[in-house]
Amino acid sequence: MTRRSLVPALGGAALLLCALSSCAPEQGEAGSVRMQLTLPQGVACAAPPGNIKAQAWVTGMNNPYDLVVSSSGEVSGELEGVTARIDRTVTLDYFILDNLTSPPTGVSNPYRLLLAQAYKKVALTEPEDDRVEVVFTDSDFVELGECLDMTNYDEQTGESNNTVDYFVVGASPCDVDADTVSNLEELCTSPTATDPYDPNDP
Amino acid sequence: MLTVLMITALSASASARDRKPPKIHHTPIAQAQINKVVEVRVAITDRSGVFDPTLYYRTAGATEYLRSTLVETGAEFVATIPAAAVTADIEYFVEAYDELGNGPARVGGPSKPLRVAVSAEAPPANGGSTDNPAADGDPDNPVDPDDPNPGSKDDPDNSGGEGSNGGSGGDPDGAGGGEVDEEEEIPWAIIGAAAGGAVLLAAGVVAAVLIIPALFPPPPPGEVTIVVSGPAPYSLRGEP
Repeated sequence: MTRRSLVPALGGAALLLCALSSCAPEQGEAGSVRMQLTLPQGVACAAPPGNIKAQAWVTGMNNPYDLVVSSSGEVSGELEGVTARIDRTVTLDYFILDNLTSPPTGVSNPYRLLLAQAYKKVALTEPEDDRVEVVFTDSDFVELGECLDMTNYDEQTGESNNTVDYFVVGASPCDVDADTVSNLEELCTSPTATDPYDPNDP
Repeated sequence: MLTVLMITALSASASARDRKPPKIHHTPIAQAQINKVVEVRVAITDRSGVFDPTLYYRTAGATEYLRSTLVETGAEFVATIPAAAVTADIEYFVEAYDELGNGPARVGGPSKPLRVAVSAEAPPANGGSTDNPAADGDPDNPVDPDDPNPGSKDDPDNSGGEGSNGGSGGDPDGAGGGEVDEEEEIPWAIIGAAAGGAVLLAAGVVAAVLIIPALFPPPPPGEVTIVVSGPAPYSLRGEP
């Protein structure tokens, strides 16, 4: 196969894969259409941002659990006192507390900039032991449009918002400037890091 | 076959992506009549299934809420506030999870309960109060205000510790003297029966110790510690 014929062939295969997989537009619950991107899973970092923090949220529990983050970015921790009898969802937030020089009105400073999020269902209806091990993998990271702002929990509905309005209205918490490049990926371009808050600096 | 596989995959995908709590629809109850049962009706929907729908209520101003399980009745979930609790204005809220643990979704809340004005007059037709004296007791309510100790299960048949008195050697006739013959024969039959009974008893105890736990395993723990570990959200990229 020549190089000229290889390109359209690969393009066709990519389109087919795209149509069959998650990058096809998805119909939202309110009738909106949003693109499914496969970020930030597998983001390659030349210079990972320092001071990454991590917290775990358990459905039905009001406060998050702080996790330990290793120097290489892995997280671990023990989430104590989780009531059994019902299956739970554990959501991991990877974030930095970013000191903003000129935060917009109403934005807390330092700002909790979400870098990545993963979640996993945990079967706790009838646990066999009082310690349940949950190991997250790369496949548990959510896509850009699936990130939730777990800090903005609506006590009435029990729902977390999937958008933030601090920098761009209706942006994903994992991409606050809505330039389709995740916060993490923008920071990963360091030392020539792009601005995760500026949609014109992807 | 392919269709079945696709439907299965789609439904599994939908379930895996459900991070939303149930939706609760409820018309707040504005009025109720004193000492009459208040029936609370809500509609709860969730694509993963509704779990533990619960009505919490209290007399206005009280600190603790009582709970009553909402029972699915057709298209609605229904719970009642017993008449004995309807002595003054009532505060309540409704809460539910889904089967995946999302939630709780609420109408009202612990700090923002809905309020029912209780008066001597019967409420309008849709006021929510029902005149049903048979429903005054709430069997689902583990903290029934009328029952100070609902979990007590006294055992009237407790006869442990009592023994029969076999030491009486009195002569019922009272005549002919009451002397005891110290040369009396040893009652081997009785001793043998007692020994056999003891052996059977011991065997029963051993069987109980070994078999009953196998038949009735201990209940699952009520609280657990989740030990989590996760990968880095990035991979290190080598220098170009």
